[in-house]
Amino acid sequence: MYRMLFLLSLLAFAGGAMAEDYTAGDLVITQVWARPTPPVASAGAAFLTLDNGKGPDDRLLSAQGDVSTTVELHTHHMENGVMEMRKVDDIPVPAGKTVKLQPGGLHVMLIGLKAPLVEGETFPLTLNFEKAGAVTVEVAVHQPPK
Amino acid sequence: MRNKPLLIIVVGILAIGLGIGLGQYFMPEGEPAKPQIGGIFLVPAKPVVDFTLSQQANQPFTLADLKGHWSLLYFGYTFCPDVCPTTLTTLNRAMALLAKQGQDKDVAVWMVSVDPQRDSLEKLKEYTAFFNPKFRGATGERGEIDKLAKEFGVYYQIHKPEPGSDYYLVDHSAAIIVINPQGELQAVLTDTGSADKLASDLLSIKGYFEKARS
Ligand SMILES: [Cu+2]
Repeated sequence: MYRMLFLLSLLAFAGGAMAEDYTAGDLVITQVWARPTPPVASAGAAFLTLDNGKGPDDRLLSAQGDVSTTVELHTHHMENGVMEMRKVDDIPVPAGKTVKLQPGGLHVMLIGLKAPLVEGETFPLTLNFEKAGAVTVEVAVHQPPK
Repeated sequence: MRNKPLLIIVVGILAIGLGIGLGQYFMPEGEPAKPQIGGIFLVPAKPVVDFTLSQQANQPFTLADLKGHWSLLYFGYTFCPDVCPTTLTTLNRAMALLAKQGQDKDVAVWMVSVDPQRDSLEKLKEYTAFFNPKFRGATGERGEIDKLAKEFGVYYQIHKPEPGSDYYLVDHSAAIIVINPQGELQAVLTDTGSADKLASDLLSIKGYFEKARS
């Protein structure tokens, strides 16, 4: 029976589409994904959800990975119908709150992609939190949910 | 002076009232009801000034390319990691919805790059084709891009690179510009988040145009 479950979990892994959950200290990190990028695109974005239900106030200070030459934390503002993207120094994750990095808002900006992000693949990304420390997550590349 | 805000409000209300009154006065009888869309619908549609951009080497992109069918124009840049891919993906899904009703064949989708410094025509072609092989890209000289952007009320601003970094960001309108088969500005869609909404807005716009012509 356990063997069966083990095999099933392997299958789920191989599917690639399964988003894994991660923990760093008291933080739970879910829905880690990125959109596939056109081969000519030099930039991409990764998204994730940070659940700080249990811990003290924390902050995402930075992210790093080999996927691109530069990794930054960014946000978007819509000003009178104009989309403005800006670099941010950090992303606060207050106690008791869930912070979503999602399309049209906060994102991990991947600048100078070394290879296109291909649907079904994953890539590692290390997140550095002020209190929860560092955690490496696998970013699943797939189309945004409809 | 204390009554100035009130005066402005009163004048505003009068102006709106006058506008509605004149609109009804000039509206020919039997004109179909304006479609309720997520954006601005123009009655009458606004003629577009001629322009010269490029869609490929030695292949210009001009007003003539916007005639004889519907055109959806989106102003962006390929370095854009989120909003442009999201909008092009939504447009692709909206086109699939239109296709189900046989309403996609007369709709062309263009991404106009406001960043010709980084976006070559070749790059744009591959970029747009990634989202839908029928989507096209165009760009050109700054003056012509600005002329077209101004014509459609599209705003963009290219930033300088931040100290220590070698890339720059571009603010840009996220709207989708709708050009009717006569090459006139028919609508500006600002509610671009859902493919369903986009497809139904386009069907309403097309429906209005057909009715108004018949
Ligand atoms: Cu960004």
